Amino acid sequence: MEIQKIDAVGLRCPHPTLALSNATQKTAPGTLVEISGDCPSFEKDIREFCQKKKKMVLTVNGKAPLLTIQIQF
Amino acid sequence: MSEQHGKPTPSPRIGLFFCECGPNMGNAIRLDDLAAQEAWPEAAVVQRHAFLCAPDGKAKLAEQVRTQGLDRVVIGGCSPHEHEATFRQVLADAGLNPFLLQMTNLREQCEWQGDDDGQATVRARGLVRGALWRAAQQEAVETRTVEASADVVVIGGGMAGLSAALTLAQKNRRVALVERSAALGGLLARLDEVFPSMKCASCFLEPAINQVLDHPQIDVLRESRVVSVKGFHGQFTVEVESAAPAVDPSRCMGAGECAAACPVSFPDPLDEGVGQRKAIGMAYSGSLPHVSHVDPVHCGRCNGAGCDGPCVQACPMNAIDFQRAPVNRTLTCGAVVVATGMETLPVPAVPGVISCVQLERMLHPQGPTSGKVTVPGGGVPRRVVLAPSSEMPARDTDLARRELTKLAVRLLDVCEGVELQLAGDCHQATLAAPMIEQLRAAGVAFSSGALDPATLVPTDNGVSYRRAGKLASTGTADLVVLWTGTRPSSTVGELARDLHVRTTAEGFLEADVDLLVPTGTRVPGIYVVGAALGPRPLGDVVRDGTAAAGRILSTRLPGERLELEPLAARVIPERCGACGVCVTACPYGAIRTLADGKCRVEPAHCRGCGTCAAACPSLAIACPQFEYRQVSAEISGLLAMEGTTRSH
Repeated sequence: MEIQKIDAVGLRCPHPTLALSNATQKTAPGTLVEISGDCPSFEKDIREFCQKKKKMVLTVNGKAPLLTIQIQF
Repeated sequence: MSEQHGKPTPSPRIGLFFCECGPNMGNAIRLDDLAAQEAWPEAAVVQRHAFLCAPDGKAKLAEQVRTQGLDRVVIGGCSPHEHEATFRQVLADAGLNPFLLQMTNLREQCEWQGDDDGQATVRARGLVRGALWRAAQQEAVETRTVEASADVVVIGGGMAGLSAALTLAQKNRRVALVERSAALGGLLARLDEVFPSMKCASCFLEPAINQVLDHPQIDVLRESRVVSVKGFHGQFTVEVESAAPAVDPSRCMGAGECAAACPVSFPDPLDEGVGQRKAIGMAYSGSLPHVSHVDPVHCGRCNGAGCDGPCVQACPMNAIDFQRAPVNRTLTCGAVVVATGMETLPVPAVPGVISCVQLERMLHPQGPTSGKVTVPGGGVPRRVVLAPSSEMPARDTDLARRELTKLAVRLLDVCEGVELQLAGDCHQATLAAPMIEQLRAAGVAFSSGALDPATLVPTDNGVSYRRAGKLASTGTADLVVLWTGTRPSSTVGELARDLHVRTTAEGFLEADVDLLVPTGTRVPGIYVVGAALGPRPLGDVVRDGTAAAGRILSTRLPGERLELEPLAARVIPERCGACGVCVTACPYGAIRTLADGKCRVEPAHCRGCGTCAAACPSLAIACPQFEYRQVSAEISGLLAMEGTTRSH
């Protein structure tokens, strides 16, 4: 399964969410997206984005603050 | 274990669904083996899906529930923490009770633990079997709703509590204001003037108290304390105990005849002993409401020392009756505002050393000395040192500087020709620049460092002191005014435990870290305002009270309905041994003892944590979804030998 990876490590909010939003403009529904980041509010922001856009968070992995979140688009 | 224990009865039609979680499952677990229909005779339907949580996965799940007539659903996939709510909603949308779902976490507990010679699949099989056996025992759980209360209980009648109560009442919320003492106003009522406007404190306070007392939406409960707070945001139950009202406030005119007749006199705690008070009388001169109250600790009728009660005869309004009983009330409210304030620490008992509060009381025109500041032997002070104590907690620093600066300005007004020394770097006080200029122009000496209370010794010329710090020095003054520091109100510890609100190391209450919810705590619906959070100036106290009121007005609306905890525990009366262990075990105070000694869980207060069920020695407490037969069924399934099906 192909995974679209986005690196948002080192970015402070709202940049990880913006990066996710920008990088997935043309992402087809069903694609698996994996974003990594280390902003303290990274997980909260990504979850909120996914809720708003009706995307499913599959996994949140890693050790805070460095987390990798998998999303099904 | 008996043969029938935990076995799935034939009647439930269980649907077993495996989620592959995209690329996350199937590397360690052999999904082809695990998800084979023939492997699970307990299940009517066995299916696997790439993304069960995606829209098409959810649609398929709902369709299977409907078309296959499923009455239980088991999902093997991710953690219930992640998606239990998602799938419960799918069941509800498909017309099935959402609590007939059982999730088992194959992803975190098997897949991500790695494959140890095929053990991941064996472990997964055990978990799924446990979930299936448990699912057969699950029962529908109904969710009940109650109407949210839009009323508010404010604890503490100081400036913070008054501002919160007034702001709420202005928008038609019913407010109960619970005040420990006999008069409203808190610490502010003891002050002469307020920083930095130098307006008289009572001119500022009195209109607010009057509005609160007259407001039809506010019930003021004086001489009252909160005994317990239970429940949750929208449905709190607050038990309040009010002292026996020896003086009927509807009859008392505040004439003061009772105080004149009272034989007991003692140092007034309100002005830290500057003046004397009687065991009956006004809380302070001009206190509101303007009615007498009895101090039960000193009153001879109350403390058993014996007194024939001359006050009863002296009262022209026949308002005094010692036969009345204390009043207990149960209030229901949607939110609680804690405004319990702070107390000042005492000064060392050295003649010529007074606290800031004592000086405030002396400066007050209606205070015990009618506005005159005197030294112990009588007469006007000529040399005064105002300083923080070296034992003062660091958090007090800014407030101490402001108050000392304010008092210096007042002393210059009142004591002509006085020589003032202001220690503790008061020139750094926030917003004090114009006052500092005024003091400098008047020749006030500014210095750094605090006074060590242990070095304060009475001498022939007054008090000798030692100022600590880099430029340590010693000196003598007629009067030393010391800011000793503050501590939380004495009752706050017990209240914090009851409310589940965190406290700081010093015992002040802690607000939530969320800057966007000022005065909010980690418990939704509980707000902390004013000096209960730590020493702060008046402006901040008013702002806190108003902020909390604003949050309350914008959250719970009148008429809104709330869901009660669906998994609330229940006591099975015929098994209950009336031992009361659960009552003490419950962290939410949700269990009470009935007249026959047996216990009962109040569903509105229970949060479904299960602590009581674990503590009960008679197995008399049932928790929906975690009943003994349900948990045993899951354990039996987990422990059953590989290949055991128990199809009978």
